[in-house]
Amino acid sequence: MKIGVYICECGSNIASTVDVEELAEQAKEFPNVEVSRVYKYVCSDPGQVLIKQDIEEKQLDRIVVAACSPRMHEPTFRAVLEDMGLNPYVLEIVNIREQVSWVHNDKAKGTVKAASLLKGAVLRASLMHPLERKKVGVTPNALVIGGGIAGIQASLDLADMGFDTTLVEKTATIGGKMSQLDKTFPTLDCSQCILSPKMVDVNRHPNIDLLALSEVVEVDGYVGNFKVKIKKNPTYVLADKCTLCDDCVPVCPVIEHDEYNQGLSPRRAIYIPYPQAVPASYLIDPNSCLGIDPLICSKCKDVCGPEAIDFDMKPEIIEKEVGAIIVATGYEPYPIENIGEYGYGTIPDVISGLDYERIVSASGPTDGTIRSPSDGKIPKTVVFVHCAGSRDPSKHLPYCSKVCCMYATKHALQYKHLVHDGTAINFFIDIRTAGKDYEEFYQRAAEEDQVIYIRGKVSEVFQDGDKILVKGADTLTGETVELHADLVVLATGLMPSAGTKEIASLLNLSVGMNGFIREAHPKLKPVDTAIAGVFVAGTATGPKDIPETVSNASGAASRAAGILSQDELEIEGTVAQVDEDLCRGCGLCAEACPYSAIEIKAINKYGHALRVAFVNEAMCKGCGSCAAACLNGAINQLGYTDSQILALIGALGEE
Amino acid sequence: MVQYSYFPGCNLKTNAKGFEETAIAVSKKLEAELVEMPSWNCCGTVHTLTSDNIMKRIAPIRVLSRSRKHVETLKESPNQVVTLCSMCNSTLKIVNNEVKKDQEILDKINYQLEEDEETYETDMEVKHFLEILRDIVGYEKISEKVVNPLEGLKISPYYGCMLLHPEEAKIDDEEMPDVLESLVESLGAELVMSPLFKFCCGSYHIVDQEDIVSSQVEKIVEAAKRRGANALVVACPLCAYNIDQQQKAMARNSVGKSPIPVFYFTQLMAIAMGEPVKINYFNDHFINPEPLLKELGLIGRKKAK
Repeated sequence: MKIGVYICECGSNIASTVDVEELAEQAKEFPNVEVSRVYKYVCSDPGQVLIKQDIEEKQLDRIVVAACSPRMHEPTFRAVLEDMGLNPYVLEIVNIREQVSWVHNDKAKGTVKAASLLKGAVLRASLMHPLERKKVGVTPNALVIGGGIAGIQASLDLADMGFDTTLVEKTATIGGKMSQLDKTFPTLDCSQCILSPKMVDVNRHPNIDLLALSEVVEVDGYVGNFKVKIKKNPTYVLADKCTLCDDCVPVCPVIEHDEYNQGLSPRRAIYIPYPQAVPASYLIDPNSCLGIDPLICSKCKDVCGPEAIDFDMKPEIIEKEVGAIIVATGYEPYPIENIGEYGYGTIPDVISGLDYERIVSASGPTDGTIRSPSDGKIPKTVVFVHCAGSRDPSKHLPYCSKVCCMYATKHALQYKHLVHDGTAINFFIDIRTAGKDYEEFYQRAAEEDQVIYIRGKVSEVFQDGDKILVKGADTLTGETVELHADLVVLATGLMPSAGTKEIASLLNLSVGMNGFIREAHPKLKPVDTAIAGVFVAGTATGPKDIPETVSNASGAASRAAGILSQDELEIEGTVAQVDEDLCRGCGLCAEACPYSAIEIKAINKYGHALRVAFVNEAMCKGCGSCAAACLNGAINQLGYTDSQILALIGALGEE
Repeated sequence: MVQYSYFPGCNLKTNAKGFEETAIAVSKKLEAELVEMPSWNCCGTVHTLTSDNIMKRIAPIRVLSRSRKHVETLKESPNQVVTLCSMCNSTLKIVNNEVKKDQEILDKINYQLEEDEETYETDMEVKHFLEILRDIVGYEKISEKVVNPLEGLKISPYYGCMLLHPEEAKIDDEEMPDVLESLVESLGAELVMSPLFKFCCGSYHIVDQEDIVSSQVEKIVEAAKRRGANALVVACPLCAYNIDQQQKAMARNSVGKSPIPVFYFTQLMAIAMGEPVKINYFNDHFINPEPLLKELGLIGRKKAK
C-alpha cells in the first residue's frame, strides 16, 4: 500500500497558523506513506497535476489531502483519482483550515493538532476499500402536490419541458389563495386576471393530469422511483355530462357559508367554487347535502337535464409512478379567532385581511363596494392593524410574514380609491417594503393617497355601540391613541397550512420551529428537501409574496427536471451495509434512520423466516445513525467503518 | 357540604369586612363553606415578587404549609387554599408555581421553615373564590339560591389587573373574561359591558400619587356610566377602595359628577340570596349603595317571598 499526502497552504489561510513544512516532514514517518508534499493551492490545476503525476510515477493507491472542508473540494479530488483509474472512495480529506487554522491562532499548537488529524487520516486511509457507485433507473414523471400559484407554475414548467405531471389539489379547484385576492401589490393588477390564464393552461396542457378534490395518501419508494397513492374524492357530478347550466343551484334548499368569499356570502350544497374554477365543474358538499346519505332530497337531480348528478359516486384510489415530487402545499392566514386583544373574531366589523380582499373584490359578496359586515354601511373610518398576531413570540407567531405590510398598505390605498372622503389609518411596527417597487408603492399610499400611518401597535379593540373603539399607541409622539372606527382590518401573518403539515409528516420531511418545511440548505438549496427527489415550492417553506413564490416554483421544477431528465441516477457508495448474520431484526436502525431508508424484512435462512434490516441504497444518505444505533454491530457504514473511525480516534488520543 | 381552607389576607379584616362576611355567608348557602385557616400571616404581597430574594417567598410558603395542615381538619376539603383578594391569589399562585418547578428554592425555604416546624411539599393548589364559584359550584346552583333577583341594577364588571395577569396566576382569559359577567347575570342583574374592564385602577399609587389614581378612576367610572351602568362590581379590595374613595373625592371637587356605588361580588350575591343587609358593612363604603338598593326595592322591604 502506498499513500500520498498533499498538504495545502491555501495561500496564507492555512500556512499562517500551521507549520506546513514541519507537517509534511512528520507525515513522511507515518505508516505506508510513500510521498508527502506541500503545495500553495492543491485544488488548482497544477496542484491536481502534481497528484496525478505521483499516482502514475509512484504507483500510489491511497490519497490523503490536508486542506479545506471536504464540502468544498471532495468532488475535485475524487475526479482526480477517477481520471487516474483509482476508485474515488480511496481519498481522505483532512480539514486543517476550518477546523484548525481558522479557529486557532497559536501556530505551535495548531501544527500539533493538524499533525494528529493528519495521522488519523493516514491510518484511516490504510483501512479504506474501493466502493461501488450503484445506478437506479428514473421514471420521467412528476407529482406536484398543491394547486396554488406555486403548484400551477411548477406543473406548467415541468409539463412544458415534456414531463408527464400529475397535479393533485385538495379542494375542488386549483388557484389557491391567490384566486381569492382582489388586486396584487405593487402594480395593482387584478389577481384573478393574471392567474386564470395559467389555470386554463393547466387544464389544457396535454402533459398535465389534474386531480382536483384529491389527496395524496401514501408515498413509497425513492428518488427516481416513487409509488404514490392518491385518493380522489367524489364530486357527485359527472364532469363530462355537466353543461354548467346552473339549473341545479336555485332549487337546492341547503344554505351554507361560501368558503371562496370567506363565509361572507351564502352558497348552496351544490355549487361551483367560483366562475373561473378549474376544473370547471359543479360539485356537491357531502356534509350538508340532503341527498347523499340518507337520500331525503333529490331536487337537483330532478332538474338536471343531462342527468349529470350521481349520489352514489364513491372515492377512488389512483396509483401513479413518479420520479420526483414537488410539495407546494402553501399557507393559511393566522386565524383572527386566536387574537384575544382584537376580540377573538367575535366582533363582526373586525375582519381579517383575506376577508377584506373578498369585500373589496368585484366578484365578492358586496360586488366590490366596501361595506362593514355588521350593517352593510360604507365605513368612513377604517383601521388597518399591521403585525396582527405576528412578531409576538409570547402569544402568537414569532416571525414576520413579510407580505402583510404590503397588503395592508394596498388595502388602505384601495379603500381611499373607493371611498374618497374616508379615513384610512394604518398602525404599524415597522414598514417592511423589501421588494421591487414596494417602497415606492408605500410612499404613494402615504403621500398621494393620504393614507395615515401611525407607528405603534393597537393594544385592544372593543365593540362600542355601532362603532369599534380602537386603543393603541403612537410611539413617535409617546402618546396613547384612542379612536372610533367603522371597520378594523387585521393584517394577519402566514402560517403553514394543514396540508403542509400533513404532507410533511407523510413524506417524513423535517419541519422548522414554526411548522414550515425545512429546506436542504436555507441559502444554497432553497427548493430541495433532505429527501432526494422531493422538492418544495412556495409558502410551504415560509412566507413569500407572489413573485418570489413563482420563481421558487420554477426553481423547484428545474431541480426536479435535473433528475427526471436522466436515464439513470448514480448513488453514492458510502451507504449502510447490514451483516445479515449479526442482525437480529430489532428495528432500532429503522427508527434511527431520518430518511426512512431501512425496512425490516423477513428472509428465509437455515429453513427459518428471520427478520433482518434491509437498506434501500437509493434512499440512504450515509449519515451513520443506524450504525451508531445498532446494538449488535451488525451495520457497517461503508467508507466510515468502525475500524476506520477507531483508527482516527486512536491517532487523536496519542500525545 | 364541602369545606375550604380560606386565607383572608390583610384587607378583609380591616376596611373590607363586608366582603369577607358576605363571602362566608354565601359560601355556606352554596355548600362550599369558607373556613378561615388558623395563624395565617401576610401573603407577602405582590411587589415582593419583583426581586429574586428567596427570603421574600417564605411568607407565602408558610401560608401554604399551614393551610395544608388546616385542610386535614376540614370536611371533604380538597388540597386547596381559597382567597378572596386578587393580590393574595396572585402572590400565592406565583410562588406555589415557582417552588413546584424548582426543588432548590423549595429546599431552601423549607430549611428556613424548620424553625417553626413547618414544611411544604407542593401539594396545594391556590384558588380564588370566583374559581370555586365558576368551576365547582356552578352558576346554575347560584341562580337557584337567588331569592331577591337584582332587577334594576345595571352592573359593569371591573377586573383590574391582578385577576387576569400574569399568565400563571390568571383565573380567566385575559382578553375576554366572563366569570364576573356570568355571575352578574346569574344574580338577575343587567350586564353592562365597558371597554375599560381591566384598565388599571392606579393601584398602590393611592399612597403617594393620588392624582394618577383619580384620573384612572374617572375614566373607568365614566366609561361604565356612559354605557348605562348604575353600579360596578369588582373582585379586588384595592380596586374597590380606589374606585370608591376617589369617586367621593371627585364628587366633592367637581359639580355634576354623580358617583356610582362599587360592590364586591360577594356583596351582590349576599343581597340576591336574601342575607341580612348589615353583613355588607355598607357604612364602610364611601359611596353608600343603600339609597340605590332601596330605590330599586332590593333592600328595606319586608320579605314577601
